[in-house]
Amino acid sequence: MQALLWAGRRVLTGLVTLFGIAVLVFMAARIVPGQTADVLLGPLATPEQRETLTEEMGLNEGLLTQFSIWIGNVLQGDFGDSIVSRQPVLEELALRLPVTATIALLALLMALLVGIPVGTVQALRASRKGGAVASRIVSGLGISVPDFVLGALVVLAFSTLPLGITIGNFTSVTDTFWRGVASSLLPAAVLAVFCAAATARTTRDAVLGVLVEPYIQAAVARGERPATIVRRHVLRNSSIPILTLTATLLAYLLGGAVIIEGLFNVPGIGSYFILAMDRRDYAVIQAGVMLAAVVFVLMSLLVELSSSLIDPRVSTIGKAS
Amino acid sequence: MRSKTKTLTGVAVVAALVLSACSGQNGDSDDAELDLPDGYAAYDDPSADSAGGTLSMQLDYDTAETGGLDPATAEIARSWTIMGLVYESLVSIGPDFEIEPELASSWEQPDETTYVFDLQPDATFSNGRPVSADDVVGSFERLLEMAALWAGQLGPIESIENTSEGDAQQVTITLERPYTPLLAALANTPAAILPMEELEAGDFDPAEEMLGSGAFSVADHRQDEYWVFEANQEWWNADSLGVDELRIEISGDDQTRLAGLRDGSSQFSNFSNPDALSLLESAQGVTAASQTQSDFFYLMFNALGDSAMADQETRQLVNAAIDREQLVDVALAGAAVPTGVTPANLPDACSAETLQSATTEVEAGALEGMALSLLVYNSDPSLVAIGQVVQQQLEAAGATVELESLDYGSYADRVYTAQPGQFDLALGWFAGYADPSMVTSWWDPDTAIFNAGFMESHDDLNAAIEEARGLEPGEERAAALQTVCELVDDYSEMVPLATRPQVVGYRSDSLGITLLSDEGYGDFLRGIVDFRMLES
Repeated sequence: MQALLWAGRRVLTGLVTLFGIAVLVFMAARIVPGQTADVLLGPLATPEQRETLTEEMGLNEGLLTQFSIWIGNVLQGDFGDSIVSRQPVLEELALRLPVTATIALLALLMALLVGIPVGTVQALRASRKGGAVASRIVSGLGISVPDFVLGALVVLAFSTLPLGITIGNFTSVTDTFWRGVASSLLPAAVLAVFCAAATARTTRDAVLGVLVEPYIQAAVARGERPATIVRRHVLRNSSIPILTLTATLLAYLLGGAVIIEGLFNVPGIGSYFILAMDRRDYAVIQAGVMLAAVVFVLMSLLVELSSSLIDPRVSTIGKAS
Repeated sequence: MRSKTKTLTGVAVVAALVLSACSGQNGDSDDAELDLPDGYAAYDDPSADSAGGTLSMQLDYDTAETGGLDPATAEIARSWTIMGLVYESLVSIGPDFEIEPELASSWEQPDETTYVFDLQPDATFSNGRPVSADDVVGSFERLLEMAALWAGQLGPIESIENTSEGDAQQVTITLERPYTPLLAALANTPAAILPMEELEAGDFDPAEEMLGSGAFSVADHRQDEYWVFEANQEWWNADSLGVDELRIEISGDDQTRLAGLRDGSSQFSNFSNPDALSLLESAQGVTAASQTQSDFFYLMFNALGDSAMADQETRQLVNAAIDREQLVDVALAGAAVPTGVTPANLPDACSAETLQSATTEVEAGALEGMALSLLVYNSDPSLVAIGQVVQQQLEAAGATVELESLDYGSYADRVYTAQPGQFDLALGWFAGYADPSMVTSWWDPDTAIFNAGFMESHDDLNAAIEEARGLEPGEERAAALQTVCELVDDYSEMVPLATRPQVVGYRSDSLGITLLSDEGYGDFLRGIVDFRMLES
């Protein structure tokens, strides 16, 4: 019962957070200097053209009226139309989200497959001097090399050498599934480098923290095999920070990696939102920020709920304190 | 001896050395350049056989118009280019800005204010309906009624009439007074001919779809992602078309478009960054060509409000402190030329070298103690580069210049919307069009409006602009345009700097292209009907 109440409070907090973000993003979009008419109509437009566009977009109404209309529509699943493409924003998102999600999931999969084993091995061999330094250098490089540098090198290499994959003609998984996956490999790999390094570092720190716990010594004293100790005790007990990081990385990746999307010409949601920002395409900006907020709130909620399942103390700490 | 800034001389020398290796066409194109006919930056024999098939190209950005796909309201050059694949105007622009037939097979001018156009007898919209004189009359009347931007460039039109006799379709345009740029204005996409019968019947919405009489029709489009065009079999010259399908991928990153050319996934790309010339040089199988645009960069001074630039003599000093030649070499890789208000590559253009700003000596320290803001928008890499050079040149003359690189919305808010403007100096660029007197309109704030927040309206300048527009090409008009340039330079409220280059790269092992050496409407695909796919 207590756990259910705790979960209910978390959901309520999430909803309040989303409403706060809705207010903030709506206001912020209108405070930013430069209106849609300035950007899209250009300097040579007449005052009449600006006025017509402003009326068409409903921007001549008061802010409160605009907000109530917008939030009312959002609650009915209508995020409005893009002023540039004239298409419903939700339809545009439905086309682009699978592209971004494919890359995000592939990148995360690569990061976890590499990061967790590497971090675990790093922690288990932390006492060996040479190995510790080398692994720190590798993970340090992975974290500190900017993705636009790595991405540019990959683009150069794959467009210059006959490596079997070309840079142009990106295909979405919604068009042709396997070609879409193949198109997503390079951008996902570039994104995975940072994520893998971060995962390895977090895993290493978490495992190191668990290795000094008395129950590990007890397991060793019981004569359990090292592999069993790692699987049953170490990884399970160090999984919460890794889970938190995984959720954060997934939320970050789902938000669209703008630079990588640009470099590999990926029609994902990151580049879509950046273009919308430049054009002051309010419907898209608002939908974009709300989508990112929903993803972060959901991820945060999932992490908290799953953490409480792994370690029931998580859901009682708040009560206890 | 002018004491212009010397701080960038070393850089300029390096840039000049780089450029000397890559100006014009690159790679193994030296021989090809010798064979180029006058007026072309790249040329492929249009009568040669084509392998046909799909041409894949990547462009840096898509159309983005509040009027959707309606050519009448299109305001940016990219829209003109893309819509120009589908629509036809009465006339087009050829080498050296000669007016050429397009939808009109011929025309004559019986007097100074009357133009009679005979339409191509086989002209047909892609839905199979023949183009009629009524379509032409209706399209122009619609354009004028909409008060679209381009309506102003058509000049003082008194009437547009269907003067057809029998089957021959003919249209007569009558002007209130002589207006030389009419034909050049008719050559741009906003003056395209729409299927008025379908439009008036409500069967065709030009904002949502494109239905023209041009070489291509739209098969698919996803905003900011791609276009797919098919050869229009109804086009009156369809047999000569060397491309069956045209796929345009929108790719905003220069590196990606370059990679596409290198690995062959793209056969044609454009680059607004002139440094692309040297980057393309190293790509095997790729040829680069630079097209001189009549578009040009200009510097705005805030002559109104509290800005230090409210003083005319100070503005003249700042104007004179800018070394255009050095700017071209350093910021534009030498692929441009200094210009006056009349774009340097157009006939009868004024000479930028003779203007006061070019001949005045500015001593080091002349701008001592002056603190200025210089605004640019960051979506155009050339603007940022020019801003950096201008900043260094003015600082060499003693001023302190804060270069602010903003997103376009913030920039427009401070430069165009604020009354008075919230800046000291700002950089921008204009389409230069195809007649030297067209762009001069923007120096009259009563007409242009966007610059009313930072410059005044001057009766003498406005009169000079109007006079030049009514004169036939030749010495008299050149002299009138020189006066316009001198007045603009004297007032120094909005001064031209240099032309804006356009670079294209293409896979010369699989594609032959035709590219005019000079262009007025940013349309580097004007010659696409002469593109030819080569046997691989």
